[in-house]
Amino acid sequence: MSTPLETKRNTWIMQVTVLSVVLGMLLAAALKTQQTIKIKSGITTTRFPGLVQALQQERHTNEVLRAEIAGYQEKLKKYQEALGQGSNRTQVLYQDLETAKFLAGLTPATGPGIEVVLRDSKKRPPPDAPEDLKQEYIIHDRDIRTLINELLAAGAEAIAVNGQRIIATSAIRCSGPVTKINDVEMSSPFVVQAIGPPDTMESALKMPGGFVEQFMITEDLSDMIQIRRKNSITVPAYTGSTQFLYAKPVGPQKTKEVE
Amino acid sequence: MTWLPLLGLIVGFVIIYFPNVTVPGGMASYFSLATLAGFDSLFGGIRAGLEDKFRSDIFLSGFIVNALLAVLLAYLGDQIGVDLFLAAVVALGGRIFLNLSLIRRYWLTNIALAKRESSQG
Repeated sequence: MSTPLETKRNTWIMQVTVLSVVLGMLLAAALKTQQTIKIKSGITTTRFPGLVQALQQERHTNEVLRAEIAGYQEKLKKYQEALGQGSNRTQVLYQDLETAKFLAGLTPATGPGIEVVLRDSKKRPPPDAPEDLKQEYIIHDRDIRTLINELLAAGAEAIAVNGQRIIATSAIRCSGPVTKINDVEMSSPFVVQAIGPPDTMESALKMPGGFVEQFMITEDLSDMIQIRRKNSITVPAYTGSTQFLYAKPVGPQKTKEVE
Repeated sequence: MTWLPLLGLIVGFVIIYFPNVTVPGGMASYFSLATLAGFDSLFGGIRAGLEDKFRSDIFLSGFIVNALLAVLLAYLGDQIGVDLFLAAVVALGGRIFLNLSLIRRYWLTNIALAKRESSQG
């Protein structure tokens, strides 16, 4: 037999216990969610519902716009083809246009060349290493820029990074953990394909004090760069927007006036 | 008997933790806030029980209403650009610490009383 006082005590302990079970569930779900967020995004902050929404929205807009661009380019191609089937004069115009597009990087190109793969080192920096040494284990936007510059200097004629064609207005830049090329996000490994003289380009990268040796300065990080010669490389066409909002062509009359 | 709530907490945790249940990303922080409100109610209930003031209607309604209110306020704060989330965390956190210290006090007093009784008896 239990006394009234004991019964009272038991009721509240039972109720608290039931609530504890519910709370344990809540706690587990909250913990699991935070862990998943950390793993998925690499972000450790707990407060970013707004950011998540904004990101999702931007991604969606991006997709829609990209589809729009693809649609417009398809249309443009059809118009140009129709033009090419017209009279002799329009055919010449069409061929001129094709050449200009090829030079601008708006058509795919194929030829011999080299493929350079840049990736973050699999080695770990020593834990007590200073921050700037740790940075050397990662591929940065500047590495890609330098590489492209070296390749161009060695005679490369068409270059693409992870399927993004490098054209006159291509920007390569870090934004947080990803690198953006032509406003497309990508991360290590970066496959840089260059059409041009394979021998010249390879030796330009491998010359003493050159690009490859940059990965051996402080430590042997040669696993970050791989160079392969290719008999045939195909780089894709530039697929981004080709609209200029500010720059306008200067007419031939105006140049005469200046003279 | 006294350890039942702790056991319950562990049981509930295990039930949800291993089958990999997650909350949608946008809701995660509100969900954590609700959990915090739940803890506030839980310790409040234990404290009331120790003080012999436990009432199940207050306990249950407190759990649900506090959690909902905290989430609602935090959501409203996000909408109007004021970080009421922090206010809720500070208020609830403060109360949790207060209740925990009171629970510890009652517990220690009870132990001391029991010792005195046994030494006298």
